[in-house]
Amino acid sequence: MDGDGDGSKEPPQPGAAASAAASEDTRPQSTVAGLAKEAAQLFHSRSYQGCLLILHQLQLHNDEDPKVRHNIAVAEYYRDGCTNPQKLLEVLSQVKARNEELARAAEEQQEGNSSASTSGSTNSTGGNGGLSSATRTNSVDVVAYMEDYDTSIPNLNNAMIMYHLQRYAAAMSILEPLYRNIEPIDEAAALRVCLLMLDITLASGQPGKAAEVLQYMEKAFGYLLPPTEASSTAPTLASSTPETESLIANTEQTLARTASDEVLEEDSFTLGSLEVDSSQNLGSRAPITPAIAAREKPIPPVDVKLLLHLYRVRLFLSARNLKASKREIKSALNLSRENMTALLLKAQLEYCRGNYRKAIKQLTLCIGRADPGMRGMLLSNLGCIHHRLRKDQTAALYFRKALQAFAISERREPLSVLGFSQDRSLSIIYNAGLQQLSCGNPILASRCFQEAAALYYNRPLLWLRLAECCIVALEKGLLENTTTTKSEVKVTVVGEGAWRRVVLPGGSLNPTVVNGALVLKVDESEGDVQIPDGGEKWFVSGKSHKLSLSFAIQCLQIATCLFDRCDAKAAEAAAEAAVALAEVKDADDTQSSKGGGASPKGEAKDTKSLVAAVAAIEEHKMHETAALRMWALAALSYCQLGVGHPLRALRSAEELLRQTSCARPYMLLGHMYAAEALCQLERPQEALEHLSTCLNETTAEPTNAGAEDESNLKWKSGDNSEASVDGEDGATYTVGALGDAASVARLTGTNARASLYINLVAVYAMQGNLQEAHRLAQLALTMSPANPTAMLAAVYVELKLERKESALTLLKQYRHLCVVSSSKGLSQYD
Amino acid sequence: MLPCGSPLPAQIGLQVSNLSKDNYKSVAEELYELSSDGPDGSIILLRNCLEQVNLAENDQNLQVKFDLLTLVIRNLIHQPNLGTILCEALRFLPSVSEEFLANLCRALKLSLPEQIALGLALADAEDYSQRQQGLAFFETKVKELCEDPVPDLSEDLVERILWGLYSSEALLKLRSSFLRSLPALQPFAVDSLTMIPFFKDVNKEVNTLREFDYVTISESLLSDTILMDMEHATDVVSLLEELGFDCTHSVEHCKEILSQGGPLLEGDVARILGTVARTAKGLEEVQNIHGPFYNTLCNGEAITSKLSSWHVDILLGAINQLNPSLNWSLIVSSLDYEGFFLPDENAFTLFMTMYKLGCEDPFPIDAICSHVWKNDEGQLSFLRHAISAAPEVFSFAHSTRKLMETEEGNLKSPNHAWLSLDLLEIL
Repeated sequence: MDGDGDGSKEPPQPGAAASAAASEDTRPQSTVAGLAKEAAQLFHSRSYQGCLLILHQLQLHNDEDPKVRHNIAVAEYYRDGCTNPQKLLEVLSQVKARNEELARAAEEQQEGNSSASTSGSTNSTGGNGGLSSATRTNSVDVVAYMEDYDTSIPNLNNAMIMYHLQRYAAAMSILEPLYRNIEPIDEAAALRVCLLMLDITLASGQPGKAAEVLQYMEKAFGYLLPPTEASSTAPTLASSTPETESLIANTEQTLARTASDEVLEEDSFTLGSLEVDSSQNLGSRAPITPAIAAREKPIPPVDVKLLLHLYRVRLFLSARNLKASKREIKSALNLSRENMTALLLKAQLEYCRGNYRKAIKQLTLCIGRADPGMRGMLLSNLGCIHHRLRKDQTAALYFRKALQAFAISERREPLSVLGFSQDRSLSIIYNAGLQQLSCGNPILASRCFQEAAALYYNRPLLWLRLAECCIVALEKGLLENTTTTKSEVKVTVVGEGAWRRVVLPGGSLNPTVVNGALVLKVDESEGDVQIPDGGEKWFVSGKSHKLSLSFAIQCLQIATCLFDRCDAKAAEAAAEAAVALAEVKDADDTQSSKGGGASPKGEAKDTKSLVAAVAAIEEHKMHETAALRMWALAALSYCQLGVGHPLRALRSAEELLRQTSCARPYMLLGHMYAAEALCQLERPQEALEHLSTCLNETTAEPTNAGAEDESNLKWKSGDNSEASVDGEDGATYTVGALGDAASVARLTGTNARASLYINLVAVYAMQGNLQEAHRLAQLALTMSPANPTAMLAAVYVELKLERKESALTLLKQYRHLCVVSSSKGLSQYD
Repeated sequence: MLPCGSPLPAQIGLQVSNLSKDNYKSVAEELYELSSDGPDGSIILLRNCLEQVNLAENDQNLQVKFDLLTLVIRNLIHQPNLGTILCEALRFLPSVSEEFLANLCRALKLSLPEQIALGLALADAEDYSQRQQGLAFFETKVKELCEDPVPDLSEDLVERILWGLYSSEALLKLRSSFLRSLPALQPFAVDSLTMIPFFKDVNKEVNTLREFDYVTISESLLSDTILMDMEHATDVVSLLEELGFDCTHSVEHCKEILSQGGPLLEGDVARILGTVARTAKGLEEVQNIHGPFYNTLCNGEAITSKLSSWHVDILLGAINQLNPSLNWSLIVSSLDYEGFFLPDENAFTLFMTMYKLGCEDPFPIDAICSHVWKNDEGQLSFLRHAISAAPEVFSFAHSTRKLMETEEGNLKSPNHAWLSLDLLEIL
């Protein structure tokens, strides 16, 4: 905690004090400057009390000087262990106001001067030496004044504190103007501005901006060397750094180090999450911020270079550009072998490449010298890896220990802002929630997700996960309401294995349910489940929500709403990135055609790869969003069917079908849900249309027809292995495996087709077209003889045809498929 | 949907039209029963009520019917699928307009929130003009609400209203005024999780909602119980299986792993034994995750050797130390869990070894023979190996009910298996 804490931020600006003092005319300059210097030294050696004493002396010289006030506030803040950010923020804003006031006054004065001087110069148009030199001194004074009253330092500190409080948007809004007008800011501070910008942009998932800042830094600070060169120069420099590390350098490293964990963690999300998802960006947040260093102690160029490399790694990693990341990591490690960030990023790289064992090794190497906060991050990263290895309980245990690590590190001393800023428990608890969900613990998972909402409330994925929790809970029969009828339906649901989830929605179309007088009561009562319990107090929300289908619907609505809001923005960002890419390419072309020197070429290539990375990230995001939106719509439709609201279900399903690039499994689901909704609305004819389109599409697929048996086998084997994951509806699963072809084959494969037939049987039967119904029922039964619904459909049709004998035979033949709810329904019907 | 011949519509129709003051109570109850079964019943009921009220202007039972309609609507308003029910019920009415809704509400004396809910429900209609009418009605009512806030609006309704307001850009102004008056309407809504997206400017930048000051005061970063719940949710049995043989490196280590979850109970032990027996011949894909686990989460010397099988004596030692008061016959009957299966004779032998290490009593034959398990396959696998086992491994000799000794000649088996009536019965 110590090293990290103290190191990771140092807003104060003793240098400013020095200069402030120096600018005082009325006081003996040398003493003041000496005092300021001493104060700065004390500050850097962390004896804040001594530093304060001197600062107070300085204040005696001129108690109006805002810089001294500013420095006093900062030193006090540090002396108190960074526990009272509010106080510092207040002083900062006062200082800022005061500075602005003084600056205005100075400006007025300057105006007066300049008008005087202009009049003077007009007088002697010949431009004689005396006068113009007077003017010059005047303006120099003014510049000095302006520098004194510069508000950039208090602003930067302000942004930094906001960042530490994890209020990224607020920090960004303060920082953005500084960055836009970065030229006049002195170099050390400008560097901090850039670094802070980078951290915030990476933390809040704005790779475009991050790349922009990174490029600016490379240009402005001139440390960019072509990678090869860097590696050759590196060793010498690197060897010197560890020993000579200035405090600031230290700072940077810690910062960056933490930053990297974040990154790792972020990835872990990606990895961690079971689906295609945007969660990748979820976790990221880099803590960090560079302190404002004293002017006398600029950050050594090597460290800047190191940082630049590390940031590039992070960008490349999130763009999945593994090759480039590898290169950058190598250069970074060349600069400093021991840099924790670099090592962690390396672990992340291995993780991305699927070398889990290597990644684990790397992490365990690091964990020995990690402080508690870091330890938590590392444990969480290990958890992600184990999640990938499908060691669910172990992963869950790692996440739990990670959370505990944060909790313990907290208890030892009062919470400081730094500790708060490094706390990643919200991200980790999201991870933990995901893990619980995949362990089949939807209720606990939803609690975790709701807790994580404090951070991720604007990520659609979080809401989708919450909805998923509800659906899983429904399928597991964990929802509170247990009327008899409900439990009947539940039995069917649970009884259906992995793939039969697809059947389920169509399932209510099946004869039994349609015919009993007690029909389709799936869940009106579900609404009641939602009675919120007022017990626990949450950070964000007044109360926790209990799982219910209504809650699922709300979450899904929120998610789709967020998609809509993000969409415009995402499209914009992607377009921007693409344009930038094109531009860079052009530039590259022209440059190479001109036959530019080797080094500019290298630079151009570098920028190009960065821009390309950004473009890749944006594009990837768009795809994810599209896929997730489909999932959300399908699930929405499903839930609305569940609460007996077919009108809305129909609307969602139609919207799903309207999506461009609607993937096959979703098409199927969309048609199925739409058909179900239409049946409930007593419009079987239209339902039939939906189902027939579906049928045509599936049979049109040659692979399916050919590989039927094969896929059937696959199915069965798949069933067992998936057993732990399922209990979710078809859609969920699809999202999970969208990537691999097998799953697609699965959903559009035999069993999906069988359920499709069953649904068709039901519709035909309702319309009285018993011949067709009979034919299809037979087909379904031969296709998946183990499917109880298929059997029941066949029996139902036999009964309708008044062939009790054959119905009985069928029932006997398939006796082993015990279908509790349905047989009850049947007897009623009879 | 209902089949044509269903008696439900007829029954409901009859009851509604015959409604009078005298039978109000009983009819209302019956109708409630009928309609509580699903949307169809509700739709028919609502439709019938509306028709009756519309038609029978001179009916002396009009008031009673109004009462019934009010009752029905009030019931429905809290259902999540009000939209479908209302729209379906109104589908065949010729003129559903804003005015119609207003009249209806006036006649039934519905409160403002209820009126809003009705308007919103109508906005779900498929028919475009109906939808517009519903929206318009909704808009006027929300305006009224903003001007004259009703306290204690239900949170559910607040959410529905917000979604309604977000559905169309035209309602932008109304949206902001509603959000402004919201704290007066429902003070708690602001804190609600699902409300966050409405209140926060949602873009890609994030402000965490967790307040530093709040955390400092409460001294914890997370809800306090959640870690504990996670601990209880830890399934040590799977953990053991995932980590592999090395868990049984030493009693201390084994204890450490087994105590990661809640207290170790009989059910857990049963699953541990089952798992160990099942995986005795080798675990699939040992990923070597135990080493890092041991290094990072456990305190102790590094393990040098790698085990290639379970050390059951260590395992049982750990179990007995963790919970010395285990009831072993309860453990045996807890073997009936999903997934229990003994693949071969070795597994069975190992299982029995573990049993004997755990407890000295003779094996409780009752527990496996008294009834058919839910996991009958698992039970069969156990019995099969038990019957063919050598007597020193397993014996039915102490079975409570046995065939007479005299018949031993015919049914000779070393471990008295075929003498046990319990066994025969269960088979």
